[in-house]
Amino acid sequence: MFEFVLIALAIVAATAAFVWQVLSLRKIRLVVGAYNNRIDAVKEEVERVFSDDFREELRNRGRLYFEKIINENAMFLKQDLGLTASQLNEYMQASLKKVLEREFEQYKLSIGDAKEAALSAITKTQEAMESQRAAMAHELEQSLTAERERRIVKLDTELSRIANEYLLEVLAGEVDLGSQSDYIFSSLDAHKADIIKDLEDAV
Amino acid sequence: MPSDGSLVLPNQIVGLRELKRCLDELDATIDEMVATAVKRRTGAEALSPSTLPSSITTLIAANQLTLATKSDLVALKRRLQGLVKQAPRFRFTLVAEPSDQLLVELVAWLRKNINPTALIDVRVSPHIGGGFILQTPLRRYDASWRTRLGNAGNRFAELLQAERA
Repeated sequence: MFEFVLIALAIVAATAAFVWQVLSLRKIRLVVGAYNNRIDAVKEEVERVFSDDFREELRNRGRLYFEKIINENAMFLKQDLGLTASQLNEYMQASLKKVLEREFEQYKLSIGDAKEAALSAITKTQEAMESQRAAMAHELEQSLTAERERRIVKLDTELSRIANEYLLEVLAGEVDLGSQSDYIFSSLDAHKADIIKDLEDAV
Repeated sequence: MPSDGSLVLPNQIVGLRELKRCLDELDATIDEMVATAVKRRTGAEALSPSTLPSSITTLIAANQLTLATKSDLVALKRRLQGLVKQAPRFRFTLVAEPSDQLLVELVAWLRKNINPTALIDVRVSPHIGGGFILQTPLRRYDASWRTRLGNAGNRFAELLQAERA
């Protein structure tokens, strides 16, 4: 029963809503119609006021104003561009100068480092050469000393022989056997016993 | 003449060469004597002193011989031939050619001190410098200056170093 009541209420409510909606739509239609009428009226007035000539005039004035605005803006833009280009140029020059100065500084440092490295290498090379020269000089001195000693020893060894040969060669041409007779007979006397024994053994 | 009957060689007969020359002269004398005797047909063989070579007269005088006949000469010849074979020989090497006097003195010393029939032979070798080298039948005696200088070793160098010091 309750459900039936609810259903009935619902139907009633729906019906009421429908009716209200219809009425509202109608009202709205009327309003809209009125509005549309106003709009049409306004259009007509506007059409009457804004004629083609007037519109053409507005267009021309608008065009001139637009061109004026454009020209002014263009001039301002040009000025701004010139100023910007000048500023940009100055900025670029300053930046380039900084960069170049920085690069030159680094180059100077590099050159300095390379110069020091070269000087260091040259100094080391000179020291090595000096060391090697000293070693070679020492070795040469030792070799010369050894060779000198060897030759001195050889000379001392050969000197007696050379002196003997010299004496024999010189004296052989100046010999006087008569002056040697004492030596000859004294030597014979010294070997007399041996000579006698030789003779006895030979027999 | 020595008591053992050996001949005394005069000092003028120094070496084998002189001895052989003496022998040759003795041979020639004997042959001449025979030829003379044949010519004369007397059979006499007396020697005439003036016809003998000096070497033989010296030999005769040194040994106090009496050579009256050919057989005396022949006997002397045999003794000389015996000496040629048996006399001891000594070779001297000297730096230069010795004088006759030195030769005589050398042979006199040998015959007085070593053997009365010693004969010497001399050779010249300038490279010995001085002194002599004596070659006996068994040994060699080197009294040359070359050997003496060689035996001095490095004495010259030592003296030089002493002077340097």
